[in-house]
Amino acid sequence: MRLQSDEAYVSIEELSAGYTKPDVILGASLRVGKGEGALIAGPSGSGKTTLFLAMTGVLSHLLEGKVEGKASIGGLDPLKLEDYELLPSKIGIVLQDPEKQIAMPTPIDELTFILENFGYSREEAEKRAVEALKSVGLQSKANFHVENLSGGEKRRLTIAASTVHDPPILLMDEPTASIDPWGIAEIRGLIRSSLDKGMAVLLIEHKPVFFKDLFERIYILRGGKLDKFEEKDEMSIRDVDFSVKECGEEKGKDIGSGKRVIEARDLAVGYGRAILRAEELEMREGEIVAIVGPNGSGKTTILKTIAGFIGPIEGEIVGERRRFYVPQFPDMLFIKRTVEEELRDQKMDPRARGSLKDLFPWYSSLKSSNPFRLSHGQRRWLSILIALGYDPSVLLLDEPSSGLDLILYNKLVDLLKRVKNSGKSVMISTHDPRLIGDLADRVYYIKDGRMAEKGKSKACSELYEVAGVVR
Amino acid sequence: MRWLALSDKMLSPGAGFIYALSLTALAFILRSEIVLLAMVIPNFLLSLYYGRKKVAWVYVLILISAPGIFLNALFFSNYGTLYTTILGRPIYSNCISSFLIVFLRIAVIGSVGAFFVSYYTPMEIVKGLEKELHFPKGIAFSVAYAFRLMPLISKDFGEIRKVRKQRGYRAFPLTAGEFMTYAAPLLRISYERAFWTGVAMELRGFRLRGKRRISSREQARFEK
Repeated sequence: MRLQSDEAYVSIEELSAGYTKPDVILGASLRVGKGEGALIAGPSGSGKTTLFLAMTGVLSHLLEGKVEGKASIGGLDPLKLEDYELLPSKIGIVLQDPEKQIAMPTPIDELTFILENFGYSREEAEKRAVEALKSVGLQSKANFHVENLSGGEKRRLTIAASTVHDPPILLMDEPTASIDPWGIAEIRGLIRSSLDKGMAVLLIEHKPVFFKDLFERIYILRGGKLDKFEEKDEMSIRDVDFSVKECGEEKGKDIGSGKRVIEARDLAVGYGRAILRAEELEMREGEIVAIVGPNGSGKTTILKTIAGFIGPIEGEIVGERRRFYVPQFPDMLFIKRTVEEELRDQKMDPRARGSLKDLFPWYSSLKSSNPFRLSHGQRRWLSILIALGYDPSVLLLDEPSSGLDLILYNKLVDLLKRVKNSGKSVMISTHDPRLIGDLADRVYYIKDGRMAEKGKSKACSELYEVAGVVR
Repeated sequence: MRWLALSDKMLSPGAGFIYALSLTALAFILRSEIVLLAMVIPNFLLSLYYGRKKVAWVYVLILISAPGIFLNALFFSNYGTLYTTILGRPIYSNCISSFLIVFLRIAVIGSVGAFFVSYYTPMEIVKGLEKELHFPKGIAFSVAYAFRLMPLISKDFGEIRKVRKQRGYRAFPLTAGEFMTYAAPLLRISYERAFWTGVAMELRGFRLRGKRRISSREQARFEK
């Protein structure tokens, strides 16, 4: 049965969907024509991913969810099994985490595997795969193991995988969730080139600030309801990242008066061979220092070296010994069965432990919950509080704003300001320009394997520029 | 020749899989320590040659199992001729024999599995299982993807160890409760990874695999 919206290449009409009953997405409707794009933004928990899974048919056919209403993608009805099976030939997809969408061990294997799914012979698939890898600058790494690719290269591989079979429609579900401004620029490039080619593009994002200039139609998903975005909608602007943050003012070099808590000279860090060098690194009491650079540049490695997980290859790090590293994936920190047990862990400092539950906004409703069942933002919050429970002098946070929506991000900023005001020092590895503008007292910028201090305003502006955002 | 063409290796993936399966079956049947040891040594050496970093953890696990196997033999099979005494406790010949047989059986299974994993890439395994042995594509892909996950799980395990040590806990699990606290985040992270890879494969046409052939018109469009 053809829908009335024949001109629309992608359309949904009164779509309601959910995992056990259709109560997560409520009556959503939108249309995107060929050569057109639509951006769907929304805070965490609004149902963005559920909408993506529902409209592509994955929710009903793979996950046994409940979907009502109508959907049409490239003339196919994904809610019908026979059309759902043909849908991949019409769409290219880019999902949140490159790591979680690459199934094969090498780039050439990944693209060949996809083309073989569509019926290409091995020879044809390999030929086409090589062309696709060339287009994203990965030809020389075709046979590298995926684990040896940088984060940016993995993202480029997923971009190649999304277009290797020449689909007319591009669907992207939060592709910037774990990528740096350089990766964001590549996604912008993909969107622009796809629209120029006459493809239909649908982007679901919680950081629309990086993409709103590319789309005529912007929607807001809130509480499962999909509405057109209005500039004057204060609630949307409060909940979702539509605006570019101020980068703050440049301060003089010797900005801190507190004692030095971390100091290093002629430092080289890495696993076996040096991947990052710094002539000097310094941090004072009560300071927030940001380590900024692209994915794979060594930000995590230097934090782990400071934490003592790995030894420096050259140089030495001196200063306060009480340092606590909070990993990028907060799940790795959890040991206990409930939130309450985590925040009352006997291994923590007794004085620091006492105030932790007051710092967890959802404590009364979630204290008996398993930490692994919390939302991403709540898990990240809990991991920072666990770290505080050990009363470190230096807190080392690895990409703390990754995956947080604007509401949680603002709460995180408040929490870290309180931590700083209590006299603790915080070192953050990040590629999020907002954190630099909102929090950093000092910035170290990584470029071409070298880390050096850079002005905060300059670093923040540069990251926005790299991402392609006009300020 | 057909069997060789699917891989540039001496032993095609399908043949390799049958080899691994056969040795695993034999390990359960044979009772000679010498024969079992003779099966372990070449596979052990080959697996280390082809992929030491990938498979070293398998041997660590095998070694960890040794005390448990010995205790089991000590409690349930300690009879025969007196062999020695350990901490005043007599150890009889059958205890040693039982320990060796069970330990070597595990070593055969572990080493031949390690060889299989180190010798072939996941892609070769998928093709071998699918095209040579005509396994359903779901099973073939699941086996291959499990091998893709192994180095990732190993990396995650290393990360969890360091973070636990930071919290004042043992870096290596010794009790069942500690083991669960390692297993929970590993399983969760692996599940999330596998879930989204599954969604990605679904939307990249995995259901069409083996069903569809690209038309000559579509091929010609690409050639232009």
